[in-house]
Amino acid sequence: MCGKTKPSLWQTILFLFLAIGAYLVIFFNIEQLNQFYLSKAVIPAVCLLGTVICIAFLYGSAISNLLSLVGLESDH
Amino acid sequence: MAGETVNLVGEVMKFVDITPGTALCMAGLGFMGGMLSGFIGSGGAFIMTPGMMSLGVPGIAAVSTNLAHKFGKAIVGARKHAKMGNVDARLGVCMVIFLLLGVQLAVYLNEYIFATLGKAGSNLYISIVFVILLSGLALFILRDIFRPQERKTPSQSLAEKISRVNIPPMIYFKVANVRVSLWLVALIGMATGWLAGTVGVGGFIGVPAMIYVLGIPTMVAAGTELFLAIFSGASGAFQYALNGFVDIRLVLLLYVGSLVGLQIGANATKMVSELQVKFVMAVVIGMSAVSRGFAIPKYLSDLQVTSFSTGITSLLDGAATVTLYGGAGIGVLMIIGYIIRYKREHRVTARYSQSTGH
Repeated sequence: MCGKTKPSLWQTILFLFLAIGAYLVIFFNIEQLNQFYLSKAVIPAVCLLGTVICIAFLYGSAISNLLSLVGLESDH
Repeated sequence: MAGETVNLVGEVMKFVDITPGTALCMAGLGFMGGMLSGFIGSGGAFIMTPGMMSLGVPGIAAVSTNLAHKFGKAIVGARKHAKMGNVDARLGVCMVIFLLLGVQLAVYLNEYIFATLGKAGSNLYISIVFVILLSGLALFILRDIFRPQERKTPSQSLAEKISRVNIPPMIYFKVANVRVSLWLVALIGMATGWLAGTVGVGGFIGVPAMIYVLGIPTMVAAGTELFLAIFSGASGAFQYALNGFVDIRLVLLLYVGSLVGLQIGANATKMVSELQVKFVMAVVIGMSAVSRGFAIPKYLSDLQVTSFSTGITSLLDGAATVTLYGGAGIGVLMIIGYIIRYKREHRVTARYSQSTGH
C-alpha cells in the first residue's frame, strides 16, 4: 500500500544517539551558551537559529525513524 | 538552573527558572501542542504560547521562543512539502515581502510595549490579540460545523466575487490557477506576518484567507503557508534573538514533546472524519480563548488599570491555567479516543473478513 521504505535500525540508533548527545552538550553548557546567545549581536542570533535547526533535524529524524519502525510513520 | 537576566530599555526581563517540574511541563506542553498541530494542521502556537505564559514565561519570550520552534520545524518539513508540488513559488514570493513587513511591524510594536509598559503590558497586549483571534476562529468553525450541508459553499462565492475585483496590478498564479489583485495578496501577507510576529500564530489566518478570499486550492494554500512560515519564523525569531528574547532551553524542551506528538497527531488524521477534526479544533481553540480571557484581569491589575483583589486575580489566573490545560487535555484525549475507536473497529472488520473468508 505504501511505497516508502522503512529506515534501518542502525540509522535510527545513530540519529537517536546524535540527538541525545546534542541535548546533553547544550544543557550541560547552557550558562556559557546563553551568555553567547543572549549577547544581542548578529552572529550569536544566527548561531542560535542554526542550533535550533540542527536539533530539529537530528531529533526530528530520530523520532520519525523510530515511529516508522513501530509502524506509525507519517508524512510530517 | 538559574534564570538568565536580559537588560532591556527600562526593564529587566528574567527568564523562567528551569526546574525538573518546569522541564516536564514544557515537554508535556510540547507534546499536547504537537499532537494538536499534527491533527488540525496548524503550528500549535495557539496552545504553546499561552501555555508558556501560564508557566510564568513573559509573553514576549513565549512568542519569540515559539517562533524559533516553528522555524526549525518548518525548515525540516519544507523539503517534504516542496516535493509534493504544493507550493506556488510566485504567490509565496509576492506574499513574503509583505509578510516580512508585517513581522517587522509586530516585533517593533511588541518590543515597544514591553519597553514602555513592562511584562504585564506586553502580556495584556498578547492576550487581547489571542482572545479576539481565537474566539473569532472558534465561532467560525462552530458555525461551519452546524451549518446545513446544502449551504456549505459561500466561501467559493466570496472568492468568485473577489476575483472580479479588478484593482491593478492583477497577477496570475499558475500553480494555484487564480488571477487576483496584488493589493489583496499584500493585505493577507501583512496580516499573516503581523499575527505571526505578535502571537506566533500566522497560518491560522493565512491559510483560510488564501482559500476563502483568494480562492486558492486547500493543498496549495497549506503548502505555500509552510513556505511562508520559514520566512516569518526566521525573521521573527532573528529579530527577537537580536534583543535576547529567545530562550533556547524552552525551544529544546518544547521539541522533546512536540516532534513526537506531531507524528501521532498527523497519523490520527488518517483515522477520523473531517467533522471530528473540526470538532477538536473548535473545543481546543475555544478553551484557549476563554483561558486568555481569564488571564486579562490579572494583567490589568498589575498595570493598576483596575483594582481587583488579589484573591480574585489568583482565582482567575488559576482558572486560566485549568481552562488552557483542560482544553488541550480534552483535545488530546478526544484524538486518542478516536484512534482507539478506529483500531477497535478495524480489528472487528478484519476478524469478520477472516471468519467469512473474504
